Amino acid sequence: MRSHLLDFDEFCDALARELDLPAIAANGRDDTRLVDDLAFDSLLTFEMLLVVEASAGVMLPDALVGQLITLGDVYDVYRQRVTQG
Amino acid sequence: MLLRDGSTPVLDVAPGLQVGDSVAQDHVPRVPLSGRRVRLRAVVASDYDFLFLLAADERTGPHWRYRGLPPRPEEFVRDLWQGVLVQFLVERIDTKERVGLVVAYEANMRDAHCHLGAVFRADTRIWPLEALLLFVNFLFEEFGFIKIYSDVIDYNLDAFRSVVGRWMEHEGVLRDHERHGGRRWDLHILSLWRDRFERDRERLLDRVTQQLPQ
Repeated sequence: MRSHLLDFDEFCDALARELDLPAIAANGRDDTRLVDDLAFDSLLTFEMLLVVEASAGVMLPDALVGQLITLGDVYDVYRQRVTQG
Repeated sequence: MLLRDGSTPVLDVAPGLQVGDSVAQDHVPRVPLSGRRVRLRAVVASDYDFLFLLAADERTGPHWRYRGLPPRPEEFVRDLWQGVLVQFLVERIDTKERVGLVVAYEANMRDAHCHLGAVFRADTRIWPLEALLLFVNFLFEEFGFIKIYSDVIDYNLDAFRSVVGRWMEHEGVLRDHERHGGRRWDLHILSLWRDRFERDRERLLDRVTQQLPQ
């Protein structure tokens, strides 16, 4: 997933595939809330962070976890890390 | 080690090896106990105070075996090993801070299953899951279990919401099994099958053990 910067829809598709959670691809908008709309709990958040870290090729700071409210937040983190190289 | 006269002690060495030869250990298969952020290590006596505080802490205590009742200090260490097959202290790799404990207990080697328990500091939420992944893999690899159970009291079940169905099966419930906080609670029995774990094992382990820049 790392070779190039994915756009938001591609990112949601990849995330849905990796997490086996089709709802991400089906309902994925940047304001879709992880907990309230997609029923994310700590395990799903953990799996998602592993995917994002592998995609961006960097470790994410632990403090970031509490700041990820929507799919848009997650995509912003991914995009920033990839574009920062 | 140096002897008093400054020489090194004589050691028995394998035929063909001289003292001081380095012995490559890379051929020894190892089950990974370290991830990106946490590692599992043996519990040592200096960890007992930390573990006692976890058991007595009103935020973490109700999730552990004492259900929030402060254990008697003199019995705590004995209890720590009661019925336990193996347990590891979980610590952060970067700071070496202790964050929790993972335990396998009530192992039945003939039928190839055991129970899994874990307790973590209240201020750690996500990364303990890395420890659980490493530990589950260790149990399946080292002991050949086909199934690992987890007993989850009703008020903890919400934390397993995304696990049930995807990773673990809900095998049964013991109605009103435990009393805590002025009422009775169901106890749910969840299980993780080896077959299910192995489907995603490599992918997840690769991810948690891959070293990445910060």
